[in-house]
Amino acid sequence: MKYLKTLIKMELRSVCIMIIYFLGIGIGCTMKINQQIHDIIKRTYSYGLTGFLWETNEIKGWKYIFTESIHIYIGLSLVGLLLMVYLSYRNDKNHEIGRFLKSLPYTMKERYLVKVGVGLSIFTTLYILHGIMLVIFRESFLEKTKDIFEVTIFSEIYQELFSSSQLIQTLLVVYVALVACYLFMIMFQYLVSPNFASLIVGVLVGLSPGFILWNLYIYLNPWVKGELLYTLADFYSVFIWGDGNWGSIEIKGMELVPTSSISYLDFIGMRIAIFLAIAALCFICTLKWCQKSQLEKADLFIPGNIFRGIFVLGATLCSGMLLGDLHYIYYRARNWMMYGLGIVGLVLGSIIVWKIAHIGIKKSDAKKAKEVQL
Amino acid sequence: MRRWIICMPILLGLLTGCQSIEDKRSDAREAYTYVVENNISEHVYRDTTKIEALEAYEGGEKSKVFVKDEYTYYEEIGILREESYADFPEGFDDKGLIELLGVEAKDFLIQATNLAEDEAIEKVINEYGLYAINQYGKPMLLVGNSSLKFKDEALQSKIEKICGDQLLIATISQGSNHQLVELVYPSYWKIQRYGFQDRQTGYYQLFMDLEGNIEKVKFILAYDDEQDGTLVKDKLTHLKKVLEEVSGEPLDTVKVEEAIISNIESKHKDSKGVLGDWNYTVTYLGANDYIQGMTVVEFQ
Repeated sequence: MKYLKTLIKMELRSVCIMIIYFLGIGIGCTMKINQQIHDIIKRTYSYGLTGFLWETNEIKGWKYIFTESIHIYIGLSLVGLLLMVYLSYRNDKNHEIGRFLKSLPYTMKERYLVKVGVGLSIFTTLYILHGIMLVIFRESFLEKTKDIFEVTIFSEIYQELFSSSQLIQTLLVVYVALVACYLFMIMFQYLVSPNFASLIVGVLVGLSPGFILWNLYIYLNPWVKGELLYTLADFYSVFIWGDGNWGSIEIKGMELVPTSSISYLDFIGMRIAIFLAIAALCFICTLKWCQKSQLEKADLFIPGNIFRGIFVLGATLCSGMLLGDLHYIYYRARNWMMYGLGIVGLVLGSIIVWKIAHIGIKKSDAKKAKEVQL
Repeated sequence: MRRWIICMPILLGLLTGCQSIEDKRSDAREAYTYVVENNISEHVYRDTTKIEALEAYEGGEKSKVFVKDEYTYYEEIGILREESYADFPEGFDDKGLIELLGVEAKDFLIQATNLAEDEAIEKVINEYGLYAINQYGKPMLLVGNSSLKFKDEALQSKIEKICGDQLLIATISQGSNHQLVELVYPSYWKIQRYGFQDRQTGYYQLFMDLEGNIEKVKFILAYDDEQDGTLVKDKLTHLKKVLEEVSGEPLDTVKVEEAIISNIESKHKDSKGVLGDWNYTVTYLGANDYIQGMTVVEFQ
């Protein structure tokens, strides 16, 4: 453990700027909540009790105080995690520094574990800090608005609407999902050679299952029973990435029931299990691949043969669908034009993708031939 | 062949899994559906005779604008609000109004016609809230009435005593164990009518239990931020009256008044203190779109 100290220091130095970033978004999001709470209190005093419900006329407006900030936090955290992956592999991917690093007495596995460990510990510490701040703000919000809630018909349910266990569970799901994203992105550092391109490929591959499923639903609808594809696509895009379900508040004895929707996250255990499975899969795969991979060897765009095949296949499919999609989005009609454009996209895409995926192959082949000749 | 045999069950399992998730989601949706009860109409009723008379009043030669806000949405969620009033922007006809408001309003109307520039007066006479101001050299008048009344007569008379000749009931709301009454000065309507506030006004929030025992009083004072703090003096004298009426004993409110005035003048000096059985806090809230400055005084 002692001899890893230098490695940890080195890794920490390259990503230490991310501490400031995550601290910044944590403080920014909590400041936003604080501002919103202040605005609600101020509005309540300026207009009286009715001012409490002024803005959206709905109870969901109150719960939005927390969910909206969590959404912003997720978005900014994803950007931050991508940046962190980029920064932590910037040196390794460099030709000269990479070779120097390789000469150090550390195995690839150790380097990978230290990178992940350092990244996750930075993110986790600041995430916990942010979570604690959210819980404190929830308490202060309920404390400040307690007397107002008590004199409305929501007096018996407002504690449940802002239940702290829901908030903590939501934070947990978000944490596991973000960690899964981080490990997924790191996996692509070992699959694709150039540093920045691997981030782009990683993001696109992460998004592609939803895109492909939705498009299969559009393209194959006339022939295949659409419902099955729809549920699959819905499962991927809504259940895995969606932000939960909507319940409602109904008022007893009203003929025209005015309802207010309240948002909550459902299937928390299952979501955590899915994200943990993704994270574990990425972690184990990377742990296996990192031993063989040569990070500093940037000649080949995609070093692995199997992944190159998958990449060509997937990217060709997506590019075909993309061109057909343009027609579908404008005209909302499935006709020969859409399928024709799809086929054109498929052909064009396959040529471009083939070229991209085989960057550097000729070079390395020539090198090999030279070596054989010598 | 072997691959297909492995793949097919996985796909089928996934699909059935998705389907059962859909079912479970709707179950969960039901679990998160709350039913609440709105029984405010059992305790409060609307007595609209006076407001209808005001609406029917022709206004003589001078024009009248009647503003009636129907807060049906709030009524559905158990908040009753009254914000109906007649506005006389181009002056008013004394005789007709005295007929409508009663002989007691005579003095007020005479005073209202002889106001100096930028001077304003307000009073509640015969359950009508009157606010008169001389702006741009002509007298303007707002006449409003509150139709909200408690069915419990003892509580109604108690609230009326607190209102005195200055306040009107604007909002009543009820929870399972507590209820709220908001009492406004007639000048408070001017914020709603003209979208701005350039003179001191305010309202009271009385938090009570269901028997009508007052647990907490909030006094929200709105004012022109540039103003000298002593200009709210008449509102502070009335604050003393309200507090004495609520607590049933004479109180020495000099310290509270000083705290409020220094809060208005310093714009941020929040303070705490004790007044008889009450603990009070004075908080500066600042401006919003309508109101230039606001200070909240809470008695608990």
